[in-house]
Amino acid sequence: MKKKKMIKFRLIILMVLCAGLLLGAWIVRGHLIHEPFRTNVRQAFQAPCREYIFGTDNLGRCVACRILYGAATSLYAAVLAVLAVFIIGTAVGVTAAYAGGIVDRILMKITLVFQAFPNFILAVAVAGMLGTGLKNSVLALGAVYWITYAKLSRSLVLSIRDSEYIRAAKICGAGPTAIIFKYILPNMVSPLIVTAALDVSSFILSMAGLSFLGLGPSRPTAEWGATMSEAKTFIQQAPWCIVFPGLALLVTVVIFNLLGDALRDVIDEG
Amino acid sequence: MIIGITFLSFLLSYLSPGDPAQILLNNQGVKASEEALQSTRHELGLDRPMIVQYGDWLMDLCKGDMGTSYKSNRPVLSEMTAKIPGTLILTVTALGVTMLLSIPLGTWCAWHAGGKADRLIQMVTYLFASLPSFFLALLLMYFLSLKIKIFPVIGSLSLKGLVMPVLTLALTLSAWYIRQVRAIIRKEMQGSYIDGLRARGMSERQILFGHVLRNCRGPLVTLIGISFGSMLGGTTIVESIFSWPGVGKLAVDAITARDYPVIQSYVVWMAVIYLSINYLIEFLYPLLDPRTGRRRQK
Repeated sequence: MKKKKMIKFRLIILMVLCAGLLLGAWIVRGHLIHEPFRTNVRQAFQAPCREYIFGTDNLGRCVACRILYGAATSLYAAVLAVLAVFIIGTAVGVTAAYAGGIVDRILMKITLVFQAFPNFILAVAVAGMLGTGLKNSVLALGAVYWITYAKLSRSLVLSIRDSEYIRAAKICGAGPTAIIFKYILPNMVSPLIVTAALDVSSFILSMAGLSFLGLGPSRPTAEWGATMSEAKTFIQQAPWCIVFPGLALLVTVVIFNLLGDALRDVIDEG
Repeated sequence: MIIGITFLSFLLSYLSPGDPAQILLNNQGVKASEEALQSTRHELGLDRPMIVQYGDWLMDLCKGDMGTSYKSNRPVLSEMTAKIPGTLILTVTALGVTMLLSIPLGTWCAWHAGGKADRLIQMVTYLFASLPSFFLALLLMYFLSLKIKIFPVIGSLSLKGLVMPVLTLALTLSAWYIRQVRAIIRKEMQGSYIDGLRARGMSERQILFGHVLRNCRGPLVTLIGISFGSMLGGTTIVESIFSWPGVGKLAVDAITARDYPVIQSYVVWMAVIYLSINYLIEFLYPLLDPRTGRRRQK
């Protein structure tokens, strides 16, 4: 009993923390001490000091302000994108499982083809073909991530579809839409939500990876991966330009991972 | 399957917004007039219906012709085959290092589950699993190449040049691997036959090496198949950071130059390698775990 409470408590704390991160990233944009894009060459390569707590980069821009400014890009892109693939993937999976027959076979063949490519490589190729930009990199990652939801939701529907209560609902005259939305979806949504929560962090990571390769949002968005990629050329003069965005990324990913784990634990405990 | 893969790869470049004729002419340093564009498009066959273009492309692919690079004007196939060994050396070495690191560590953690060291390792692997590989690569570069100066910044096809790219790949993957190995072994140890062996007075060491690890060979090999894809994916980032001469770097450079044939054949190659590894593992599995093989024959 006590353990159960602890797990719930942890989840609540992490949810508050994540909500705070999302909200904070939004609010902080308008209240930065230094302009994140104003260049000032005389202030270039300042080591972390009182004025610039994380130092400045090659153009004299404040690293801390850029990190705070870029946070919103990574966070909102990841959360919204995961929400989108969650909905699209689940729709595909449910359709495949409920329709069965040829529709199911075609949809599953398509997922198999997508799965034949190593994830990140497919994303790199899609982003590369579409060109840079926030929208394209999100599309590229979405092309990879929807498969998990399609497959998972399909197998979940198949496991529920033939159960007693669905048959009872059918006998009572419920149509397919009512059965899907009222009886099937509510009973299969928790494993999908856990997957989605864990995907947010991996989305943030892959997104940073893409923009590190120059495939992310175009400048100047101060996205973390892109900032670090720029800073690579002057790593020797100003290592802080890499360390702090990197740490920001690490901490964010850890927090969202913890949230996913906490959510899974709570659902497992029932 | 093959048709699906090739079609998707083809579709990628077909749907891309850039105009290959324009890129080709620009790269050749020709000022693109409308006439020149038209004739180049015709030359490249871009004015025909999509299915015809795909058919031609597939036929050429079967003959081993993957098109010509827009950038270097050389056949893509020879550019690719020149760089594939680099990527494979990197991947296989990194995978080897990962196994050497994570199987003993994972086993040890499973055997001493709940102990202080286990909890510490769990925490460290949790952190490493959240660490972007390019961040790790840059940190390694800063400390090992610029501060202590033991390894070169730019990876060359040599043992010394191999160390940092391999270390980056292996460390990030090991974090995930150690946790998986630990879970696999813990699950196996819950089998009732383990209690039986203990009751017969068999030593813990004999149980671990003679029975538990033997039975885990199958799942452990499956892990390689799963992780091979992320390993290949990881090489794109690591290769471009350390300028390692492999296909990942080639592809990233091709993306910057909008060199579609190269990107296309890169995707096809990676999918083929990834699939072959997974088929190989499916083939090997019954040899390592005879139970599955026999069941299939029935």
